[in-house]
Amino acid sequence: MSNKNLDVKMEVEFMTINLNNSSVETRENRLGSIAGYNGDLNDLANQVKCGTLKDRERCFTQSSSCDAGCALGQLASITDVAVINHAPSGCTGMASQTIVNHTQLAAKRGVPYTTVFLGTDMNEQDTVFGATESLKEIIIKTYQRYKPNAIFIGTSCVSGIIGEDVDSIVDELKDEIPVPIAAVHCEGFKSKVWATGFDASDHAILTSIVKLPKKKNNIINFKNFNESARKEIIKIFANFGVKPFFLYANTTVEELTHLSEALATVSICGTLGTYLGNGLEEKYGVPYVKSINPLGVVGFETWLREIGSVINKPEDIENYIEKERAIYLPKIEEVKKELKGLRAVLGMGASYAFQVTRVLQELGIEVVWVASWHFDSKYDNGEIPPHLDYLVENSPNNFKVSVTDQQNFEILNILNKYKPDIYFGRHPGTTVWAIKQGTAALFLGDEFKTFGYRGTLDFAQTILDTIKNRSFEKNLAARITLPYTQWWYKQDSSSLLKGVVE
Amino acid sequence: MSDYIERPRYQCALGGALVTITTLDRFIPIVHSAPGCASSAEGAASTGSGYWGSTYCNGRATPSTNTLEKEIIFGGEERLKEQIESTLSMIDGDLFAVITGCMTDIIGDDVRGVVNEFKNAGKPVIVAETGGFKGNSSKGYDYILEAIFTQYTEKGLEKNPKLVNLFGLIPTQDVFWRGNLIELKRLLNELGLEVNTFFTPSDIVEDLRTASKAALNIVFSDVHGIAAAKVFEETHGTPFISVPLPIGPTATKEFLEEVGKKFEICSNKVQELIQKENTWYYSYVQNVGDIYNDIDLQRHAIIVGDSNYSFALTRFAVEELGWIPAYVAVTDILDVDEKENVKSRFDIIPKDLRPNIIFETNTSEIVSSILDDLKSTDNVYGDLPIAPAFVLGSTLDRTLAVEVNAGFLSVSYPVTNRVVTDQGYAGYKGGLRLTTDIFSVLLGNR
Repeated sequence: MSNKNLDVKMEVEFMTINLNNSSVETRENRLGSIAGYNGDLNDLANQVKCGTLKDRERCFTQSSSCDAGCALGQLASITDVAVINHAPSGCTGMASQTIVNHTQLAAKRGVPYTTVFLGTDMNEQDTVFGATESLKEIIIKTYQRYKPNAIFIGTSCVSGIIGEDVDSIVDELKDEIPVPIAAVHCEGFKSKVWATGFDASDHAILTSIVKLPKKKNNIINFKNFNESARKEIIKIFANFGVKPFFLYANTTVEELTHLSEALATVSICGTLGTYLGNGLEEKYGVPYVKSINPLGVVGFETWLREIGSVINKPEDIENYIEKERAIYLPKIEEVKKELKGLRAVLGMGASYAFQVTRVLQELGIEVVWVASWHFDSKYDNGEIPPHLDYLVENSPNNFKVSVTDQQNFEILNILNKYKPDIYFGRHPGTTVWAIKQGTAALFLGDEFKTFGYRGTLDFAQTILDTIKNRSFEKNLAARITLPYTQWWYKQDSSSLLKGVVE
Repeated sequence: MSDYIERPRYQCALGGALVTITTLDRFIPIVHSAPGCASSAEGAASTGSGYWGSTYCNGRATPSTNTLEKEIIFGGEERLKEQIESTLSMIDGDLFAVITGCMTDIIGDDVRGVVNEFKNAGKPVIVAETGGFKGNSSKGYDYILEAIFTQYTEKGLEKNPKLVNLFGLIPTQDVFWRGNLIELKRLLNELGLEVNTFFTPSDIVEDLRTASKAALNIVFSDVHGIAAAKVFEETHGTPFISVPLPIGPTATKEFLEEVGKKFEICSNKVQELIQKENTWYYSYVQNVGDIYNDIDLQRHAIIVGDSNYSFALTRFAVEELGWIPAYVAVTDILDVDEKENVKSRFDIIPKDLRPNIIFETNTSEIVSSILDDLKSTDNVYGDLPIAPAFVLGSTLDRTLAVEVNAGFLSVSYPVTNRVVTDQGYAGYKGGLRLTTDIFSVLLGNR
């Protein structure tokens, strides 16, 4: 923590988080994020450093995602809240699946899950006459009926366009309803970077739930999605005398009020963690661990050492690393022999795309193309994402990079041209298109899949399994037709990008 | 809006239109809306319909203008034009349909004007305004069918007196639409009719172009597809009948007789078919009669589903399973007339077997109104007054089944705990499958 003063100075200079506003600024405006680019690793890094990186739009686009899905999905993973989506019914269509997922995560842990996900069912009349009065009634009714410990009201394209003043409704009801209540501004048209939705949920938590610290505890806030490595991480952290607090899945509102009391915040994903981590650091002085993520060997060790310096236990960390290296590194070296010569393409979010690339390179796999769903030129601390610098210094090749928001036509064009041995994705409905075209694919839905030494070994073995029997995708690809014209496969994958957006 | 909805049992109008389009190979959607609209609707429909998943050009491949704030301020017509042009060169399709979302409907883009430019240039593009705030999937199904019938289906074709079109089963909203349509087509073929099902994997877009040849449209619903069938009649002169979804021998017999009469098919031929199908059906059911009696598989039924399934399943439980229906929850959002139509269907159920009918879409309200009613009922069995019970509903209704200690099978949307491919519950084959599935649940722990 010797450079603390420097940190503070940087924060003032690059302040992106404003907790006095009710709505979060988009990633485009806050972090210089883009959704359209084609080039390579070195060019991307140079452009970021020189400040010349500009977004490019496309003349053909395919369905993507919106802020609301991320924002409300995150909040609905808290176990004792009500999420009210002030939107037409279709926008709440995801609620069923969201609740199923979170109910199962809670059941796995054995904790109660009483959260409700409601929609206000806005209709044509509401677009003419407005619906704030009905919204108010629904909020009151929701509180009386379900007795949640907090209420989050999500805004939508429709509520945004017709100018519903949800903030005023929230203010009016604060006296009437005895639990925290917050507007979550996540209109689907607001940002082309749907990860802004993560920030919207964090903003709601920071502004309406987190309280001033009463006493410091020995807890490290751990931002993640599904807690799948919970037991493993509790055990690891016990070596250093600290406990992880995983969020938001399976947390209660009461637990979240104490986020300000933690020793530090870490995040499994840079995209997911930047707003809450930096927000807690700026407002409450809880240090945010900003190293590369704990995926793969180098990532895990760098991350552990950063934690060690934050909690002031560097020796404990070194002892742990030494012990674990002895167990796992020989096994990882062994499996690497079998992976040698494989070529990979990745399509993932802005942090995982580059972090998993690092892991694959550690395993000796050649990464030929990285498609990043968006790209953040900096994080909320004002710094360039650390995984980019790492790759510039350490990547054995200057691989191709595109920033493409799940644009399937570009991915299939790339796979057709580069014919990799395997494609990696993390978003439902993306990898299936690779196998339809005959490329083996591995879906990394579990964010802890490549976590630490054990996870890296497990990941390597899963890759081997994936390419071992390819009958499913071979048969499928041979018997179905894909929708793209032959013309498209003859074009360069970036040929539908237009000029830069000023 | 007047009240909240919990975890909707349908998509919005855009979603209903979108899944109707993408069910059919080479029928390509061009969604003119915000980036998340299509994936939200398709994600829900895909998982909610027993993991329907990706088709020729849906999911991550769905062309969408992904309109943002800029288009709200400056209008989205230029962007739409560009997207249609690029889609026509990118995607190999037979028919393209521009469908709109809330935001583009509210800002008032002249989408018809844009699409007309392409139509005039001979491109196969149609358009439907399907802003999500206009209604649910049912409305979207009607809107896209109306667009097809008025903009694509050829006018003035000579009628084929033996051709029928089947409507009313909204793809994915009816989780078993494929299997149901296949069985209904099989039966009508047996009567000597030619049948357009439109939305099974074996169907082609061309059938929609020549659908106007049909002598009759059969709408298997009191609600879904009725408005579109009226437009069809006005545009192409083909009349329609609205019939309930027939599940099992009794309902299917009635259906076949009605169609037989409509087409003036010799009644012997109709009765022969019914006889043959009955023989087939009972040659299997007689075998499971043993276990049905030996461990008493009669149940008190609670049925939760849309207007199509709530009645069809109740009838099946009463007429084929010998069960006692206790409660029926109809989960569609219906107007007063539609509610009356749906309710009157239940008049054919004998009075002493007629269940309590609730019109309610919210899962927890359904649970609480049934539990409240049960608490106020005399308890003659020592347990719950409806023990032993069985819930036929959506996966959302599993909680209700747990509350009343009932067996449970998911049939109505959303079905997320099963994989559905070619299964269907309509007709004779479907009736036997439903019997098989229900009894398999009851014996599942053996």
